[in-house]
Amino acid sequence: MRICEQMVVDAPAESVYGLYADLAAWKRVLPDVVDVEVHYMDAHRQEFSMTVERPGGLETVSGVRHLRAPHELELVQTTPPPGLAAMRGTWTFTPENGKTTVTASREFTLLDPDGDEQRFAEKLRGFLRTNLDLFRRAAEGERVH
Amino acid sequence: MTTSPTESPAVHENAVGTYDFRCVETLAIPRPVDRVYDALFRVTDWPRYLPHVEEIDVIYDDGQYQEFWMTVASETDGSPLRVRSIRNCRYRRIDFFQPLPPRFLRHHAGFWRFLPDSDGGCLVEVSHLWNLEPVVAAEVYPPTAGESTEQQVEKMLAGHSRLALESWRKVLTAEGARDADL
Repeated sequence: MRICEQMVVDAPAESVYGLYADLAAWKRVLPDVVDVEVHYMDAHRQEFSMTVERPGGLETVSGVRHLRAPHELELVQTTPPPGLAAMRGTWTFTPENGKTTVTASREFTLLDPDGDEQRFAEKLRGFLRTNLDLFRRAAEGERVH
Repeated sequence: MTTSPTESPAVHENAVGTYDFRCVETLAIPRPVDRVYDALFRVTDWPRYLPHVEEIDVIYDDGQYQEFWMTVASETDGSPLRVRSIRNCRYRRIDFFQPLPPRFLRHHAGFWRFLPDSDGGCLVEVSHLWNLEPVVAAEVYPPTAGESTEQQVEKMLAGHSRLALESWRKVLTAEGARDADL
């Protein structure tokens, strides 16, 4: 199943992209991120593990990102969160009049083929909206300072 | 997910020059593009066709993204070499990188492109992109009067590319390849 969430950020695409691309920034921007471990990083590819706090306890996902500055981050979680068989997607950054529309697209497959996709999609949309807003605030704050 | 070769991210990669070194090798293989792509995509079949590949251990494969360990025969009669690869397989293109590169490389990535030629065959292009770990590279490949460390590494990677291309041409054009669904 595919879902999509968008948010406009009052900052140029290059700086917004840069914030999302910087794995070290995730721990600073997102309060639920406990740890980020970078296994490989060059200017176009990243492999990492990220541990986040969830109501059920800590969850660690592993993933790979393909970086296309300053337009797109393509991602796959090779170790997805519990309950998921697959999770992949993109962050895209569309500039317009000095602002940036950030679009988070995700495609996921539940481990349980009879699982409630709509329910998980709504939960995921909530996480994405929260993260988009936290990154928006960080990007706009960075611009001001 | 499909992306035409002209939209390839490699254009950006090479344009911004974030890898210090690159080598490109090409070879025409007289088989349809999709057949050639498919042979390189189906990583679990490699040990059946490529004699130097001893084992493939797939960690992740969702049809586009792949992560696997490949065990290859040693070039020096030592222990077999295990290499982890992460790939992004798209329309007529396979991007790859080695998250644990050999210690003389800081980064090692690249891509395969599969282009139709005028005879109904496939022009296969493989590019390697890398940054050196300079001190280690100079230890492993000490400069000589005739060749710098950088030249030796490039020669080695270009040689691997040519060997891979030749191996695939041999496999894909061998008698019985069509019957073997190659």
